[in-house]
Amino acid sequence: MSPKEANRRYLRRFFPSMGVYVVLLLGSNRIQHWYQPTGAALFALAILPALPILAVIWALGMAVIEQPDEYIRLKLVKSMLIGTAILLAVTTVWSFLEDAGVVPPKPIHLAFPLWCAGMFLGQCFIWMQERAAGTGE
Amino acid sequence: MNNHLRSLRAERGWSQQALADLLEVSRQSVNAIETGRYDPSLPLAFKIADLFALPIEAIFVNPSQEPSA
Repeated sequence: MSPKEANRRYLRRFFPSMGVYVVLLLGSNRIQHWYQPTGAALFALAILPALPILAVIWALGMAVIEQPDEYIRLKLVKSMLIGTAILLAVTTVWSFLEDAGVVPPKPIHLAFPLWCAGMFLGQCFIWMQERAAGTGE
Repeated sequence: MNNHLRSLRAERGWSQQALADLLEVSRQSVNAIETGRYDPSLPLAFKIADLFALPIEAIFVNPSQEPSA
């Protein structure tokens, strides 16, 4: 598998998962609003939108495993580490502020989007480093 | 790690993309190795050596044998 094919494979997993996420999120919210389910039905409806997000996390893991180009794989892992560091830093600081009653409880469902945003910042940082180093052609 | 990849590639008239295609890696990888920002794995280093029909130490400079600054 070529590096481009590995990337295409990731995108083929990512976009349908996000499409399913939007449908399930809207559907779950509407059904909860209209029918006010309780017990197991509410549990199932509440968890449904999380499943495509788990699929995206799996796709990210597979993107690392299936990437045949070791340098691109390294950059991907570096950006994931930057995302993890940003997530840990923000949640740690937030926790102390939360303990002091300065901020409301952590919106835990934003942890993954924050990690993704941190990973994106990491990719931008790596890209800028590469640009500064030049193409070498 | 310093290396002679760029000059060896230039001797053969290959672009970074052409070398990347021969090695089945991305052009980014070739660029990162040439500029010393990335040290290839041993399998990739052997692949590069095979392609140029040279021993690894003729392409990559042993850091312990580099003159100190």
